[in-house]
Parts: sequence; C-alpha cells; structure tokens
Amino acid sequence: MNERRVVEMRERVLSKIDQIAAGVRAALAAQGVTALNFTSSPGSGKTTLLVRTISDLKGRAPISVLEGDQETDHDAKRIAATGAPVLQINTLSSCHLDAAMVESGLRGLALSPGGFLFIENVGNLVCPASYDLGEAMKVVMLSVTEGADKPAKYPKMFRVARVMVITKTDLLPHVEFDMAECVRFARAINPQLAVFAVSAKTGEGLDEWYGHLLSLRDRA
Amino acid sequence: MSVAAGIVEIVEREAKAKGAGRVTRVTVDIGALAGVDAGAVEFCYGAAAGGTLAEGSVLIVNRIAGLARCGECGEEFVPRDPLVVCPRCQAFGARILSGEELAVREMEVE
Ligand SMILES: Nc1nc2c(ncn2[C@@H]2O[C@H](COP(=O)(O)OP(=O)(O)OP(=O)(O)O)[C@@H](O)[C@H]2O)c(=O)[nH]1
Ligand SMILES: [Mg+2]
Ligand SMILES: [Zn+2]
Ligand SMILES: [Zn+2]
Repeated sequence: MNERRVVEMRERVLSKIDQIAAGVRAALAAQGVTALNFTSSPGSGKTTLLVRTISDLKGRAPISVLEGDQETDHDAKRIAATGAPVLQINTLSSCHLDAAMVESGLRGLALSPGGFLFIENVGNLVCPASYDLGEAMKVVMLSVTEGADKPAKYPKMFRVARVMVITKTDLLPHVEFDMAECVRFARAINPQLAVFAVSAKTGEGLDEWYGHLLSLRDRA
Repeated sequence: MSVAAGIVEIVEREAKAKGAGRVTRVTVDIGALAGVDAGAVEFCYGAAAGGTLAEGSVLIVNRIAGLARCGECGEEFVPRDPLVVCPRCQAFGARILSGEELAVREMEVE
C-alpha cells in the first residue's frame, strides 16, 4: 500500500459567480476591451460624467456602456443620445450588478476592439464592493456635496477601487468640502488610489481624467 | 459549476501534479459570509468526486463564523451579508475580520 501524505494547499475555490466573472474578464481581454466598473452613491454624477467622457473622447476611444439601475431606462437613454452602444440592465430586487447580469448583457451589446466598456453600477457604495463583474478595475466616484469622510464611512468600496473621481467641483464654492481631508481618508484606506477631481459641467479636471483613462487602455 | 465540483477540480489537478495515486481526505474552509451553503457542499461532494482521483475521499468542512469590527465605534459583531451595519452605532462599512473564506486547505493523498 502506498504511503499517505498531507498536501497543504490553501487555494481559493471560485464560487459560481466568480467563475462567471473570470469568464467575462477573459472574453473582454480576448477582444481587447478595457472594462471599468463605476460605483458611487445614488446621484454622484456617474451618468453625467460618462456622457461627457464619451462625447469628448469621440474619435479617440470607442466606448460601449452597460447601465445598471434598479428600475427605468432613463440613464441608458442619456447614453444612447451620444450615439454610443448601450444596454440597460434593471436589477429589480437586487441593489447591485453581478457578473451573470453582465455576461448576459454583453450578449446584446456591441464592443469595439481597443475600446472601453463602461459599466455603471447601481448607485450604492456597499455591496457592489463585493461583486467582481469581470472588470479591469473599479472606479469609485463621490461628489463634493456628500461630505469628505465618505471613504471612512464606506471603506470597503474605497479599498477595492483603483481610482477615485471626486465630482461636481464647480459646486465647491457653495459647500463645505475639504478636498485634502477627503483624499487623506481615502489614501489611509488605500494608499495606491489614483485620485481625480472633476466637474462635468465646467470641464475642470477632465483632461487629467481622460489622460488616465487612455493610459489604462494603452497599458492593457 | 457547483462549489463541490470546484473543490474536486482543484484537488484532482493538485493530486495529478503531485503524482498521487488517489486522494483520501480533503479539508476545506467555508466562511459563513462566503455565500455558500456548507451542508449542500457536503451533500454534493461524493457525487462530484465520482470518477476522479478523489472518488471515495472524506470531505471535512471547517466552518468559520462571520466576524466584523465597526470602523466607527470598534464594536465586534456577527454581520449579516450583504449590508454590514453596526448593531451598536448603525454605521455602515465595518471591516470583515473573518467569514469570507472559501478555500481548499489541505488534502491527504497516497
Ligand atoms: N453642478 C453639477 N451638477 C452635476 C454634475 N454632474 C452631475 N450633476 C448633477 O447631479 C445629478 C445626478 O447626476 P447623475 O449623472 O444622474 O448621477 P448618477 O450617479 O448617474 O445617479 P444614479 O444613476 O441615479 O445613481 C443631476 O442632476 C446632474 O445634473 C457636475 O459636474 N456639476
Ligand atoms: Mg446614473
Ligand atoms: Zn446589493
Ligand atoms: Zn459601531
């Protein structure tokens, strides 16, 4: 009889949803598409920034969009007005997108090689942090009207994101928002976090944001 | 593919890599917050292992309780996924200390 021995492994078992996410990631990589998962609280300005980004990068980067909202196709209509391919996912009883929704959504969405897939998650800073959609990275957004300590209140999202975009900077004169304090909170949780501050209304900070976006694609 | 099948896939790949003839015992960690029903994994394992190097092996499930610490007040509590709300101060975003595990820890081969 053969000798028995113990093999130490400590290997993570991928749950079904993580396996689907891995499949989505592989499929996107094979098509040369850089996917970003945008998260924020409701109303931080995700759709507004995506619309402006799509318009301003026309001719430089083809962008397709998956829109996640609990109900309505309002945001998909706003994206569609730019001419970009878009598909609305209504999550109904769920407060976040998951990889299975993205996988089936992608069957109905045209993607361009060398371009981007923007996934706008449901406005929610809690559970979207725990769901891998197969994206290259998560981008977390917060507006200057939400308080500088948001990263401290929702640390998991700011820990798993690679980029933070502070939005609506045109409103800074009207609110008390300490930008340096906000960045300090965020970097305490995630020292590597890339930070941008923009106004989709005035265009402030957008060139830096676009430069970073394009560099992500060129690195991929 | 189910979690049980995922476990068997890992075990069989590793057993082959180690040149083992068969697997006799497998130990897995399943956290209470992993979103996986440990009982269902135990139930399905025997069937999933059938016809593989792990056929007939014993599965030991190491159940790990959920634990979180509130970033605001420091309270430690057993969280309920997916909304981690502190029961003492109602703050969101407590840090999960344990319970998200889903891993093959070790196996015995011969
Ligand atoms: N002043 C100002 N308002 C903005 C800016 N960006 C967005 N808004 C306003 O903020 C509100 C919410 O913007 P949306 O783009 O719909 O926000 P969202 O994050 O997509 O919202 P949900 O999808 O519902 O979570 C709208 O009234 C926008 O006009 C900005 O840069 N400056
Ligand atoms: Mg929106
Ligand atoms: Zn959710
Ligand atoms: Zn607390």
